[in-house]
Formats: sequence, C-alpha cells, structure tokens
Amino acid sequence: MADINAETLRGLLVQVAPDTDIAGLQDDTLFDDIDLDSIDFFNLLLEVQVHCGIEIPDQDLDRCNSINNIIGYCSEK
Amino acid sequence: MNIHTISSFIPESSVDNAARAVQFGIKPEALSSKIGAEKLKVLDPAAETSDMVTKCIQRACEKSGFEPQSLQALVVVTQNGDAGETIPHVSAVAHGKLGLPDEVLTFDIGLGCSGYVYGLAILSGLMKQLGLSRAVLVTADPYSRIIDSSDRATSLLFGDAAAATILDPSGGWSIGHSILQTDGSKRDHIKTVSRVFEMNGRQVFTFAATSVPEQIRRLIGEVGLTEQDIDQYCIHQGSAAIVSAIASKFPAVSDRFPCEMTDTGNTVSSSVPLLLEKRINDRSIKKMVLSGFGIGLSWGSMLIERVE
Repeated sequence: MADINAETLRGLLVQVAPDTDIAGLQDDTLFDDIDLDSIDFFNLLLEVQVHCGIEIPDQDLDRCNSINNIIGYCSEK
Repeated sequence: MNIHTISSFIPESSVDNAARAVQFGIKPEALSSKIGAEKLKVLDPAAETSDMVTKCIQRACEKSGFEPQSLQALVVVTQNGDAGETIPHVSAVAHGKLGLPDEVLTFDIGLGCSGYVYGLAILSGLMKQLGLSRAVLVTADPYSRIIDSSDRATSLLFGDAAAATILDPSGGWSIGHSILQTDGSKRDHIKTVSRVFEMNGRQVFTFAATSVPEQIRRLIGEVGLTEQDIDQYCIHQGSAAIVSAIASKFPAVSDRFPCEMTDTGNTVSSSVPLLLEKRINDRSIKKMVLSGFGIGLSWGSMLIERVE
C-alpha cells in the first residue's frame, strides 16, 4: 500500500503547477475543472510515482483525476 | 577529436503555431510555457532531406574555409530519407550531389532526438580508428513529412531543420566523455505507423524527466566535475515543459539550461547543434554538457570542453 495524503499532494501540485488556485481546490475537485493542463498532470503523476515508489500505467490515468482519487488509488497499490 | 564549425539550415517557410493552438483549444500561455514554439519551420515540398544536408555542409565549409573535397567522412543522422525512402542512404545522395571523391566514406545513423550525441561519439571514435582528420556530421530530419497535422500531441511540436558539424583536430572544442543508453522495452512510446508519427506524450515526458537528469549526473560524476563546473547544459529541445522539468532537477544551475525553440520548435537531432552553433564562439563558455533523448527510447549525454 502506497501512502500519500492531501497535504503532500497539494504541495506537489504547487511545485509542478505554481499558478494553480490551491485555495479554491477541494479534495474532490476534478483536475479538469481547474484547467490543469496535460503536462502539469503528467508532471504531478510523475511526482506521485516518485513519492510513493509506484508506477501508474496509462490505463489508470482516469482514476487519478482528483486529490481524493489519487489518495484512493495509491492506497490500493 | 574536436568540433571545428557548426552551420545550420533552417527553412524559410513556417506555420503559425499560435493560430493552430487556438484550433486545438490550447491557451497562448500554455503554448509559450509548455510547448515553447510560436512557429514551426517547414521544408519546401519540392526539397528533399539530402538538399538540407548539402546546404548546411556548403555553409559549414564556407564558414570554416575548408573545401568539401577535403572531408574524409560524411555521416547523416536521419530517419526520413529522400521521398520517404531509406535506400539509398541520404549521406550517399548528398555525396553525389556535392560531387565528393570516392575516398569519402558515408553512412546514415537512424536515430531521432538522441542522434547528435550518438553521432558525435560514433564519428569521433571512427575517425580515431581509421586515422581520419576531417569529417562532417549532419543532422537532418524533416518531421513535417510524417506528422499528422490533426494530432494535438505532436503537430504543434516538431519543426524542420538541419545542422552540419565539422570535426577536425584544429577545432576549438574537444569531444569528451559520453554515456549512451537505450531502453528498448519502451520503444513503442515513439513510433511511426504507416509513415505517420505517434508519441505517448506522458511516457516520453516521464522518461525524459527521470532518465536524463540521472544520466547527466552520472556523466559529470564520472569525469570528476560538479554541476557548477558546467557552463551550459545544451539539452534536446523536446518542448519547453521537458527542458523546464529537466532543468528543475538541477536547481543550483537551472539557469544554465537554455530553452530556445520559439521560432523553430523541436527540430529532433538538430536541436542540440542549433544551441551549440550560438555558443561555440562565446569565449566565456568553457565546458558544456550535451544531452539528447527520444526514440528507442534512447538517450545520450556528452561533455565537450573548450581547447585553450
């Protein structure tokens, strides 16, 4: 089981996409709804992979579309 | 062996990426900060890869004062032969067009964005083995011929260009240590299908942002240098986002990673020599790390040093 929490994810998000409106981002907000572009999303998942020591295959990208969903996905790995 | 002269050929025609980005729903700031190309150069439809090769060789010879006939080897890095064919090899076509003597050996190297670093390592090693004193390495890949203009992932990225690098013992930059690697298990992340280019952007980004910094660190360590000892890191201009992601792994020297693709885009194996062309005569620069990465997936890094 890979462990990551919302605070860490928010920190990673600020790191890869500094212009993101973190204050207005709820844990269940879809990244699409804050216009997170594909490169920032790839970069976020890369940092999650490094942090958790897991690999997120392309077919699982749809399961990683919010902070809560990433936490849930990583907990299953 | 030393790098003596670099001359590029950049087609005059270009497409306006800003207008095309709107069609794909990409915002101007994302085009600038993530893709990095406002324009993409396009080779004249009537011209061939070998025409790019001959033009930049002629320019390099004019710049250096060397006669084309004095070259002993002509090596071309390309994956796009004339008229989309792979036989004969482009270097032989260019050899014929330039009227070079039959003592001039030719071959092509079938690599993409890692091709310049691989090519320098291969050619400098071959020159030592055969006792050659002057040769030219040309990168020339008109990707406009294989890009699907409706593909959002690639059509805003790639531009056409070529560059000729003359190697000669009297050159001002010595070719140093290099590391060349391949991970063939990831080969399908960049490929052509029926002559149309396809790329898994996420996988290529992840590969570049992890494997390339690791290799650069290893290279610097193996020659006993530190990050601060390197004046410029001329890495492949895959996209502004990729250059930024790699540079961010070297926070103390991230400003030494130039990103210069606004008017050209990703020019495949030519992106590194295009950066070098602007820097090899800058006397304040003493050491540079070159790094190319892409198809294969393959990646290579090399140290070059100014000869004092």
